[in-house]
Amino acid sequence: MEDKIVYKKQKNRIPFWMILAILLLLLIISIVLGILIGPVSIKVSDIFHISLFKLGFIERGDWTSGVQNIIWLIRFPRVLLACAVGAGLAVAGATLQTLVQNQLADPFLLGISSGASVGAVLAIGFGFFSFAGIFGVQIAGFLGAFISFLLVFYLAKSGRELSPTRLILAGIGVGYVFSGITSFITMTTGNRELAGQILSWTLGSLARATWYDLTLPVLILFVVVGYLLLQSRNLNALSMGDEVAVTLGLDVNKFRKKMFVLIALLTGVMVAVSGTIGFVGLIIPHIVRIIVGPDHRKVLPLCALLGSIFLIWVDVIARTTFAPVELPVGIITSILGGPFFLLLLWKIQKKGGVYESKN
Amino acid sequence: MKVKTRNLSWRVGGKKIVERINLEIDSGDIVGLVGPNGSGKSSLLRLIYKYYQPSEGSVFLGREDISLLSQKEVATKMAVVPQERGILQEITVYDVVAMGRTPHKRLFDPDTEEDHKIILESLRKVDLLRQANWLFDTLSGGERQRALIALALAQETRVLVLDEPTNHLDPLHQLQIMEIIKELKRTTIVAMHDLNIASRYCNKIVLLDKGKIVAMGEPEKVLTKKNIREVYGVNVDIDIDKKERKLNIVFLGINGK
Repeated sequence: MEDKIVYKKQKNRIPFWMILAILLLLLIISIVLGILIGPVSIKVSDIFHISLFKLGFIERGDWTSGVQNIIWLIRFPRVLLACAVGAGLAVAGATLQTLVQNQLADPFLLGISSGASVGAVLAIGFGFFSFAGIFGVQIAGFLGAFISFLLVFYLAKSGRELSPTRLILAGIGVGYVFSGITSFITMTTGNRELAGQILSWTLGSLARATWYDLTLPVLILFVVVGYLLLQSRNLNALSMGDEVAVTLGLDVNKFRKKMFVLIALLTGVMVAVSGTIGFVGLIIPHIVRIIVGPDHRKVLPLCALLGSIFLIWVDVIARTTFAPVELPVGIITSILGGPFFLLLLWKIQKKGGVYESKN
Repeated sequence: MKVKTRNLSWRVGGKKIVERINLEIDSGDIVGLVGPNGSGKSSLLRLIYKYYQPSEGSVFLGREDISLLSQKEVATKMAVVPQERGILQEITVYDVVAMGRTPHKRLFDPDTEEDHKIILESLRKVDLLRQANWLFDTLSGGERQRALIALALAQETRVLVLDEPTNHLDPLHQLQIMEIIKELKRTTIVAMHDLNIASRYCNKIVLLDKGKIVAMGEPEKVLTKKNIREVYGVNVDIDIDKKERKLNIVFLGINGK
């Protein structure tokens, strides 16, 4: 009897390669539209021609240098930064949710983003790490993220166990403290211009993106995501719970520490270039898991793609809705993310409180 | 593969949880670990599968000391069905069982046709082939436990450790689980509470109390009226079916009442 049953793997799901292809296509379309949409209208052909010209493939055409500057110096780096930050935060969120075994985890909720803010603000305001040149802010962001994460981690740990509830509480607590420090610095600098700069930055903004800002985030994004992909089997094992993961051959403590450093690095750098953009790391992984299930080999690349697309469009909304006034991106992600978070809580409650890690 | 412990002890904050345990388990033995709540069954098992580091003593798999093996090497020799696990949502039974292949995989290894065969075979052994595509959290308690056993089977190890696999199950499903374990014919250590079932399916019983071994050996020699009264504080009557080597333990009441 049993032998006759035809076994098909995950028959109800759309094939992974198809989803990947669709999202890749959507990403390219989003990048083009993201560059196209704005107060100054641009032709699609100009985008391609100017890109090809800048990369040295073709001669300069008959476009004005104004159009060239808008496309190449303002909109292109801005859209690419949205890609990098969106991808980075979504991947960080997905990984964190597995590492701490809590579906509600995200770099923002766990206080990591706030820690990165303090680091970055210290660098902007007082020139910490100025020896590192344009990367000073990003390095400071990483250190801030790392310190806050260590704090949250050790506060949440009781003995061997890492309780999900304590983790969220510790994250919120540490987050408040670091937000307070950021505000304090902002208000007491005495330098109005600097205060304004810091304030708009803490709300999350991609407005000042340059090609230089892109280098480190893009580099770290590729290195970290590549490494995480190689570790997806281990991440899968960890999602079965610590004890199962150990019996599947994973040195859980060592693995977790290594992963935390990587996530702090990824988050810190992203926050340093874009300010605190919350909830991307929460929303995107959940949508992706609904589509492809929990396998990290699929979840991580799709998170990167969907996170990119999402943030490109959030940024488009941010700069066009009340043009010429620009909204900080962080405000829009919060307006979208807050209700999503509450919906998630409500859904979990209906399912009978599964967010405690046992059974 | 033989499993041996030598003077295995584990202390937490000065409190002795597991004390000088010397076990010797032969290939193919099914050893039942019994004892009251808090007697150290789970802790002893966790020491054996290297989830805890012993304060003293060592565990041997075959001739090898597990403290000298990596977690991964241990996982290719010994599979475990622990009591606690994470939230398994949106994951199919097949994918849960597929996790059992993890210790055999290196960084770039893809899933192979051989893995697929092993996974299906593991599912067949626990009679869950039909449910392979179901989501794990739609399974009943007995089916979930069987899926987790299939996961351990997919690890293809010669030693199997189970921590109270029959917990929360009705009599039929308890017996089903024990039949599956018996059919596997591997070196097995299983912690459990039901003494009748333990005596029926295990060829050796280890009776634990306050972290120490009170008695070990054949079921009828370990599960005596005297031992049960002393360890559990319960008076029992025991019928022994000599031919089938079955014990029938009847609980009469709490000792002293």
